[in-house]
Formats: sequence, structure tokens, C-alpha cells
Amino acid sequence: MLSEDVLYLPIRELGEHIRTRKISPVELTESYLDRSKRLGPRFNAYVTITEDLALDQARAAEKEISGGHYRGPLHGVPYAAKDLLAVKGYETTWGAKPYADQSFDYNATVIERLNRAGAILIGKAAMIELAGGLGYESAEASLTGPCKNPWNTDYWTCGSSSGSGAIVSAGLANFALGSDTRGSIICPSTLCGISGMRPSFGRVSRHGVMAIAWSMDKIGPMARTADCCGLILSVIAGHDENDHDSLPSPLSDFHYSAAQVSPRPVRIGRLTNVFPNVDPELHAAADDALRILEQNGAKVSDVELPEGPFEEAAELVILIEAASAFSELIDSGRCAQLADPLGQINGYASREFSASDLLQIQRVRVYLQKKIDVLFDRFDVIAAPGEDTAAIPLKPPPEPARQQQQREEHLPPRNRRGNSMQPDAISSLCGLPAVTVPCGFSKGRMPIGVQFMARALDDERVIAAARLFQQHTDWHTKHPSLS
Amino acid sequence: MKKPGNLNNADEVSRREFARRVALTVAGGTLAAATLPISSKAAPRLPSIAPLLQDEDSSGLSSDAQAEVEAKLQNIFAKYGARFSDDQKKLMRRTVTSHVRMLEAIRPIPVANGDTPATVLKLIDDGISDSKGMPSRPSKEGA
Repeated sequence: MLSEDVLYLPIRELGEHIRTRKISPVELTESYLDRSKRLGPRFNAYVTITEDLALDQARAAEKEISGGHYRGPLHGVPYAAKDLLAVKGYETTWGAKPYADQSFDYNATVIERLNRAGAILIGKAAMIELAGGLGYESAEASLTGPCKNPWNTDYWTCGSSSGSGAIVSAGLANFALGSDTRGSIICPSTLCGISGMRPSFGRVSRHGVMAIAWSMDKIGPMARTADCCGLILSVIAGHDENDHDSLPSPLSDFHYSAAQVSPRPVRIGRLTNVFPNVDPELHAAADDALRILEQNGAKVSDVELPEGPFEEAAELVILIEAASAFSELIDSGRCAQLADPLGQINGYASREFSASDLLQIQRVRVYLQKKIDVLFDRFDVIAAPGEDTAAIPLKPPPEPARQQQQREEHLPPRNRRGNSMQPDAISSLCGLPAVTVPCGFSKGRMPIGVQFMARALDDERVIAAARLFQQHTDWHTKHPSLS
Repeated sequence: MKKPGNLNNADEVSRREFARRVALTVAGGTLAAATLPISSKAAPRLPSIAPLLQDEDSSGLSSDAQAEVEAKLQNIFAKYGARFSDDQKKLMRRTVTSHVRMLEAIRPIPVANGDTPATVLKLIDDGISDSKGMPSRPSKEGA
């Protein structure tokens, strides 16, 4: 089996070893499979390990590369896919008991694209049931149980791309795909100490992917570095006529090269009014990250997110669209089979929204888009802590005085109160790209991160800012000790 | 990247001005026309965020909003009441109250007749993309 150091290599480096045949895709896949089978259950990271498919794909990759047909940097690289992506021949459970036996006879478009790039699917990653589409209160809201953080298994990964975060953090696969309706890539990536990217809305096809909210759902990469995210996005992006909201070419295409150099210093807006009530260490770490960027040519200045009902608009859009997306589940009463008490009833409540309310929200949404967009006349990216907390315990201590705080700490970001200016509400509602990368550790030795957001379709700018940071730091090279 | 054309003319609006616009909704202004001066130190802030799982009671809700909560609950329980336990009914009340509280933050924002919702019909791109010099319809994939 290959050493842990190899399994944690970023894609560009690993791909070069594969291209030059220093590393065999079969041996690499076997090593990740072995590690996934040994360590995956410790974290509740997988729903299914697709061992037969992975080995078939690995052997095909090895044969092609040996024959001189190298497809690119993902060729022969094993990955995991969140279990809301359809994979022919395997169950696609959406992380929920009512769909535990569900399967599709086709692949999601992103799976097809990764197949064409020669990537190797090693398993279906665990997730919060229905990706939290009908709401959830705790990490228990998953078909496979609470997903445990590889940095400390007493702590949660965050959701809803929980397994994807754990898998990459634990080196069970080289990268993973997650989905992000509101924060479901950014949060687990941050709390698991990896790099994660939510692409611009419409850039990556959702065909073959469970829908929560059609106007907000995005698919994106979770990997070791921002550069890895760029490489993956360049493969999975692009127009798909099977996704109604897919942007046309060339807007949806993403051509990525590490050699791309900005013609001028990166202009970064440091958000000063986000996460007002969080532990100061989170802001301090993000500020340190921005200082490093400034020392390396970036121009950093303070800016505030515009005020507006971004939180409410984002939440209401999700509630209303999810109630429609899961109407069969609600009609049939099978939502009672969901693990989470809120998920069991929330769909009924969400059906009470009126059409005029929906249209009002969607009309206000355009106005809110304009309000955030003007920030990017002055800045290439805006930056903030990756989350409003480091990873939280799965089982909080029982002091009564802390009951309310504990309950809220255990809520997914969508459901917390107090931190009204959460950048993920704004950026998710408006379809903006975002990247989070690790930038330190909390007092409790759990990862914390910094996130960058950009104007819609400026995906390359968030990657460029994060890459610049990672070129001058080594936080992304750190991983949990799992021996 | 060229930003979408329909956003190019967005006026930058301060937080305070935005709050004031919301406060002045009852005056019947419109988003497009609301270019009010920034002047009032007493401009109200926007309502605080009402998360889904806050321990909701109806305090702070207008009487109309409280009535709306009751009407929605009656409707839900009339249709599906047999499906819920007492605890679930309590959770339902909290949830519906939270929903209405969020709506209360959105409804007052003025919109003009021409303010289009973010959800619109998108034309099938056959032929349209060709006319813009974009690649023609790609082959099906993923199916």
C-alpha cells in the first residue's frame, strides 16, 4: 500500500506521478480503498464504497496511460461523490431512509464528465438526509448516522456534504464532490480543514443530482488545495442541456491554468460586519491570512456587506422550493420516516407559503443581487472567516445554563441565530462563487478557515486569491493523525 | 468576466438608506424609484434574523401576522392533523411562526411593476446560442 504522504498529495503533484508512471492508478486506488474500508466506518464517511467500479476504472486508466493516452490531471485519481449524485449500478440514497433503496439507470452529468477525464469513483459519500432540504436539527439527521470529524471524532464535520468533508480530510480519497445550496460545501470544508469551492450558479450541471432548491443548488469540489478545486472545476463545469439552469457556453465553461497571472494586485475587501458574535480567534485567523496576502502583493481594505434581508430571502427560497421538490414525500406522509423531527414536519409548514410571497421574494432577490454586485466594482474578492465556529461537539456537555447555546451550536448554519450577517446567505442567494481554505486551528485544535467570494462567474478570482494564500502558507498540508 | 448587463446600473445603496427604504414602504415607493437621501440617524435597522428553530412565540409579530400563523396552522391541521403528535404540533407552531416572521422581513420591501422575479422562463437555447456566436446545442450527456 502507498504511504499516507502519497494519499494526501494535491492533484497536480499526484497526477504528474501518475502521468510519468511513478504511481500506478491501480495501486493508488487499492490504497485508498483499503484506507476507506479501514477508516471510513470510524467517521461514518461513506454510504457505499464502489470497489468493483473503482478497480475497473483504475485498470482502464492504467492501461490507457501505459499506452500513451493520458487524459489530464484527474486521470487515475480516486474521488468520492456525495450520495445525491446518481451513479448507474449503485444505490443513491440521498442520505435518507425513504430513499434507502433508490437507484438510477444513468449517471449524473458530473459523474460522466469525471469518467471522461479518467477519474476513479471510489465511493458514495455520506450526507445529511435530503441535504437538509426539509431542515434538520443535528448531525443525527443522516441515514448513516452522525458524520465524525477526522480531527476529533467527538466532533461533527458540519453538513450537508458531511462525508465528502470527512473523506478528503482523512485521506480516504483524493477529492470529493459536494453540493451547496446554502453553505453545504463551505461549512464542512472549513470544519474539516480542507479546501472547498462553491462554483457560480449555473456553471456546473445538476442533472442527475437530487434537487433541494433549483434556483440555489450548486455542485462543487472539495479537495486539498484551491488549485485542486480549479482543476476539478475545469472538468465538471460546462453547459448541459439537461439542466434547465445550466449557463450557455462559453459562460459555463471554466478554463483553468495555474500559470494564469493577474495583471494587477488582487483587491481584497475584508468584511468587517460578518459573524459579529463569534470567537475572536476566528476573525484573528482570517485577518492573519489577509496580512499574508497583503505581504505578497494583495491590496486589502475594509468593507461591509450591504444590509438587507439576505438571510430571510435565502431561507425562504430554500423552504418553498424544497416543499415542491419533495412534494411526493410530503403528500405520501413518508417524510415521517426522516430521522430529524424538523424534517418530518417542515414540508407541511412550507406548503403554506403563497405564490405572491414567492414572487415577492424572487423580485426582492434581484434587488439584493444588485446590492452585493456593486461591491465587486471595488474588489476582486471579499473575504471573511470560513465559518462562524470551529467544529462543534457531537455530544455537548450537559450544563443547564448552556442549554440554549448548545442547542444552537448544534444547528446547521442555516438554523442558527445571532450571527445575522452570515456571508453564505448572501453569496448562496446570489449565486456567487466562494472558496474556503484552512488558515489555522482553534484553541481546541480544530481547523478554522478563511473564505473568499467574488462576483458571479468570477470563479477564477476566488481560486487565485486562495492559491496566493496557499503558495505562502502550509495550513493545507496539515492533516489529522489517524494512526 | 463581463458582469451581467442588467446589473451594471445598480445604484450603490447604503445600509442605512436601505433600512430607511424598508421603513418607508408604506409610502408606496418602488425599488426603482427609491433614491432617498441618507440623512436620518434614527433610521430603523432591518428586522433581526428569525432562524428556523428559534424558540418562537408570537411576540413582536403584528396582529395580522399572528392571525396568519393561526390560519396557516388551522389549514395544516385540517389537512394533515392526524399525522402529527402533540409534540409535532408544538414544533409546527414554532416553525410556522418562524416562517411568518421571515416573511415579515421581505413583504415590506417595495417592488415596482417592472421588477422581474429571479424565477423567469428561460428560452430553449436551440438556435439562440448560434445567433450569439456561441457553440450550437451540445450533445446529450449524462443520460
